[in-house]
Amino acid sequence: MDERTRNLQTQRRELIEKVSDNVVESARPLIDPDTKPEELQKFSREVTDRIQFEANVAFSEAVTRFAVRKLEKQVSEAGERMFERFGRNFRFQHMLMFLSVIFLIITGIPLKFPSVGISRFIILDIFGGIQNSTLIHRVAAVGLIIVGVWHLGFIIFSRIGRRDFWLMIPRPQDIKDALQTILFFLGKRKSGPKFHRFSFIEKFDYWAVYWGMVIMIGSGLVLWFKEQFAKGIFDIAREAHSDEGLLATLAIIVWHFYNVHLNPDVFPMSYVWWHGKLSESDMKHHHPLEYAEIIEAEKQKVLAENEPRTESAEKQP
Amino acid sequence: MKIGTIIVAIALFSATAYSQNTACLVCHSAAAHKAHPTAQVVDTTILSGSAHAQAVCTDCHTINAGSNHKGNRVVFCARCHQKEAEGFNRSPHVKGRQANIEKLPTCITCHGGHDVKKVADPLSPTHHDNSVKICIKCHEDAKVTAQVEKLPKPAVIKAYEKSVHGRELMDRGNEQAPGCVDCHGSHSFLPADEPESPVYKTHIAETCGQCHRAIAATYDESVHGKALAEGVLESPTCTSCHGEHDIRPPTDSTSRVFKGHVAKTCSDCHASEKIVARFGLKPDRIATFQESFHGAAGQLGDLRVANCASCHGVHDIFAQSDPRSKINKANIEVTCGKCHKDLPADFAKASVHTSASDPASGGEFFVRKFYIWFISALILLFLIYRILEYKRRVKRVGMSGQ
Repeated sequence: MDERTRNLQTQRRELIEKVSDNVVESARPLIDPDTKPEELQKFSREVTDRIQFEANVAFSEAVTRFAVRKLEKQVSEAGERMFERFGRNFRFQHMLMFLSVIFLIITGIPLKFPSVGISRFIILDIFGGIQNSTLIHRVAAVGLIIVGVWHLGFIIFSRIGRRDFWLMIPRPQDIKDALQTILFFLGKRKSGPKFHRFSFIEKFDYWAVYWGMVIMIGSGLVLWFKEQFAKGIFDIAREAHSDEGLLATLAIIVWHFYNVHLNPDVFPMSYVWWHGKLSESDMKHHHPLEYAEIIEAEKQKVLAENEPRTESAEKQP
Repeated sequence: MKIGTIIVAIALFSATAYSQNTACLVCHSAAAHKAHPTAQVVDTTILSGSAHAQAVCTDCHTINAGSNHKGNRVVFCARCHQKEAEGFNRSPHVKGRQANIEKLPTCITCHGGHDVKKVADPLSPTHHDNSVKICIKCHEDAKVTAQVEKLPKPAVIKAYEKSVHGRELMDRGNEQAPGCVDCHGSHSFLPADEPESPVYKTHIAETCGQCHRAIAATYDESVHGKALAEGVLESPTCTSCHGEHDIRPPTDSTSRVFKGHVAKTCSDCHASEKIVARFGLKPDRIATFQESFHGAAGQLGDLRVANCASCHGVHDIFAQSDPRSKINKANIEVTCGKCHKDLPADFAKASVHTSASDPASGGEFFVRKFYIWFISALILLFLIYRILEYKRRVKRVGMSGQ
């Protein structure tokens, strides 16, 4: 044992004695004046021991509570039924899309703010000049165009794609949902609206991307093949590309990043983009109408299977 | 009659030069020093090696009558070098004397005394290779420049040594490169604010044109040269863009005319409200350029992209209406075609310095207007939604806590 440790122990002992003396002093009015000093000493020891014990318990409780909660969640998720929200095809679309968009943004936004130091740093120091960054921008643009075409194919030729696109189409119910959500936030309603597969927020996200893709790819192609267009069209396309790019970046940061990263419910990140699954409790909470529909369909299926085999059984070969 | 007398006198003096000098050397020689300790010793070998080897003492020194001419060391160069002396008398070096400034240079300071040599002599301090050193001796001395308010600070003069001219002359020994006197003139050294000075604004192109003949001729024809000739002193001349003492080659990244700095150099006037308003120039030329892809890429450190000079020319800048102008409608396809092959058919008709903040630009302006409102409204909506959601969340957590 070195001197430092010894010193610390002495200090600790002294501190404990001091605290217990104080405890005794402050408790003296409550104590029978005839109590012997030895008994008082014993009493003070008991009090300090108790305080130490409580502090230890409180600390370990805080630590274990966090770990237990995490564990509980894992256990419940492991045991819980998972619902597939996004299929593999759709998840790959999303991955190619965000990879493209990240590169498009970091090579594009500096051009809108060229006089800012960080823009120069990004273009000159990270990418080694505008010749490289514009090349990367075009490569990423091809990625985005591929996503666009791929997605159009997906919503036309895939059964799931067709179903999801149908459910994505805005309906009057979405306006009602939005109003109810606001009323709920303002405390005028006890609960928020119940959503089907896609809430009005998710529909907004989807159609915002749709709009953005059309503008960005359209104007981007004009800029890319500028020799084919009149200068007036080029100027308009340049302005639209630049402004829509800024809008998309802001929307991704303020809206999408909040929804899937910063929101306390999912922080640091929602992993749906990776495994594409939602737990049963999440389904019940966020998409109750869809959940009810799935359960109802399954019930019907089970009922149909367990029905007395009259007509259907006869038909089977 | 008088002139005749003088000529005769000079002739007599020359004839008796030897005997004249011998007379002086009776006291002023090294041998006679012991006998005449107060007399200044004159080394005749130095004198005989000088440009004045043929002169006699009294050509330069006036002597009082009598043997005691103590203290009389004034020399009169002007007796022979009239033209130079006239110039020198107009110079600040002489005018300063009236203002009681100490230690101002005289002829001897630069040319030397008994050892004076012809300017063409490489050993002469005033020879082209050496003359800069004479000037900087005082003009780069902070103690000297501090005495006179009007003098530029030593750093301004020192910049010459790092300039293309200074390096060529002093480091690489290129005798074609100019020293101080090549631009400022010798002897008179008139300051730049005197209209007769070779470095007065209207004379600069002529001064630089001593060497850069073709460029000066092109400049004189240009819109800037013409304006200056018409008396518009704000119009730029060579030094306005290239700098004065610190002129550097355009390939040098610290040069004012380096590709990456051209827009900034032009903006000195073309983004100056005062000059733009006074001469009715188009006001937003620099701003619209910086907004364009060319400007943005340039600001982000690209050097291949077009700068002002790429389209408008360098020394040969003309008004757009001038058929010689690179941006004349007839020439614009050639100018832009230097970089952009396959331009659209009616490209020459298009306007170039357009701005989305200018209603005249049409579509561009409306797109910008639309997006300003659209982005503001959407982001505001997002934020309001987030705030409401956050408030509700706090309330919910609070309630569940109860």
